[in-house]
Amino acid sequence: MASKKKVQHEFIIRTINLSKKYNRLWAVRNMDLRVERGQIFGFLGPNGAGKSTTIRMLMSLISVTKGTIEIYGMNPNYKSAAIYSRVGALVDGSDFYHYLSGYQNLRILGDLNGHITKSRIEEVLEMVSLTEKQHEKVKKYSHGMRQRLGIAQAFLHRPELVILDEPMTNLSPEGIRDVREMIRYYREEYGTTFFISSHRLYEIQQICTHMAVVDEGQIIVQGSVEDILQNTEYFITEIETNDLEKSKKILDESELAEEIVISHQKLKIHTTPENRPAIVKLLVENNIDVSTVMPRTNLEDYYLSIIKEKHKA
Amino acid sequence: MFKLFILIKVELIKIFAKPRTYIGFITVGVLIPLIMVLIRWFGFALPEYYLRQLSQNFDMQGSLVNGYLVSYYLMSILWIHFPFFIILVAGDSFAGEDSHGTFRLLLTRPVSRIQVLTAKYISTFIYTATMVSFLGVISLGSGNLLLGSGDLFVFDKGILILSQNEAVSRFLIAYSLAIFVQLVVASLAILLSTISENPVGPIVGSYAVIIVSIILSMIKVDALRGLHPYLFTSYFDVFFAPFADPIPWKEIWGSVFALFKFGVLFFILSVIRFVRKDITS
Repeated sequence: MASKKKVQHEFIIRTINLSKKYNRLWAVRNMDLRVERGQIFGFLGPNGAGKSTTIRMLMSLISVTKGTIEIYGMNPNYKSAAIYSRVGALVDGSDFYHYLSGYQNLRILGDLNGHITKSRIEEVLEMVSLTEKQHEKVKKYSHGMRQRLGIAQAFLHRPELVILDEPMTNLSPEGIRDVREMIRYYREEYGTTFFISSHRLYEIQQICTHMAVVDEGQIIVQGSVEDILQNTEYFITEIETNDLEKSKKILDESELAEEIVISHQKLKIHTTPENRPAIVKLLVENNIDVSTVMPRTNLEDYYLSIIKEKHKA
Repeated sequence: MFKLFILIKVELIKIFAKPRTYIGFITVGVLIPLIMVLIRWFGFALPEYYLRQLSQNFDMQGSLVNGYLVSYYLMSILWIHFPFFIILVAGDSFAGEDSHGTFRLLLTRPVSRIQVLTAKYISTFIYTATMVSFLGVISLGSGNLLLGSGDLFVFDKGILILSQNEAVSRFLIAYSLAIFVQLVVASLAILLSTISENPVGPIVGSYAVIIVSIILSMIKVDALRGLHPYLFTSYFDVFFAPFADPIPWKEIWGSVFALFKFGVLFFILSVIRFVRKDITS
């Protein structure tokens, strides 16, 4: 139990007052990020919020105006090789050596990461469905194929931390699904930590465990998705039963749910996760057939509401 | 150190995978043999002044023109024309990565910027040395094949006749010095490449610097004489020095050292620029 607690507080990424100024404009201001091992951390915000600037600072592509960065407890200014051998990144789009093939690009990038075998390169190319096109020059690739290659190179050396900047850009719905599955697989199989930026929340809301919402270079909210949403109107439980009206009546009379709405042939209930078993038990005891119970977080609505609130303020 | 070797290998793969790298090889590979063929067919006119000089001292029989003589004259392209092929590749080394956004791939790997810079310098130097050597081999090879060999007549502050064996050794020294000169050209182009985000800038910029410097180096007026030691192009003609008798080693080492200082200066400025550079592309 003690070791579990220790693991929970191991910061993979930690920034303190991280700031970046371009001429007179603060692109990022006093950002305190906390990303722990095994999290899928959504770094969310509208275009121009400072997401890419933050990621570029994390990857030492641009200098820090003020503040500090720690990745695995180390400062990238002094331990860049030690840090980046454990990190895979896709920063701001997928640009490759267009005169080389997809395979050759991964070959040279793999060489820089250490000994990456041919079979490993083929494995990641298969993961992103580029096996057939691996020997074609990248200049012949579509935007979507380049993006998939960009994701493949980030996973190439089985990094402990993967930083993905707008990874779903240019991807087809199938591609988006595949990437989500890859992220889930690597987290479950290897305990990989993910830091994913996006301005299109619906693309990643299904997989994020934690998030920070940024706007105008500052963090508005940060924490676990469940903690942030559970006391808001954006955290609901969807239940399908054989008699929705009767189910609603039973739950209205109980104290297990705060608000119950019937919508799209489902009960949408505002309740805490702890109450879910009791709700199901109550319905079953009243001879209601419960077919599905699905916790839903409407992150996108929440995100839009806080961005709107901030802009009003 | 091992990482540096990997980086050099990667940089060489990139250099030799780009079509622009072969522009120099193709031009030299086609143009020089073509010149030799044209000389074989239509002859090679030595300047009247040299012929007069010769006829005053020697009884002229046959032709002085052979592969060595034409190769000697072709070394003049190393001044202004040849640097273009070096700049074309060296100028692209950093600005090309910047404009294509590939620094984001390279610099997010476990390599330091100094390692990247050093690897790019070394790989560009390997290309430069290969390119100059290729010029030498094609020039001497096709010259000897098409125009034959023989003694080399050098017209400079009088007439110097070098035997065939002596000529070969002088060409070896001359081309080694030419490599060194072109390395400084490459260093300048790399420096400008670290400053620019578009490869056109360093290519045009390096060429402009070289041409302006050559013009200033060549103007022998008192007002500019004080400036000459500070122009790297003032030492460019060092590769002609081995064709004197005796070889002016002191003068050659002086020029080599001066060029070395320029190379080091360009490298240090590149380091300062690149290490602090924000990769925003």
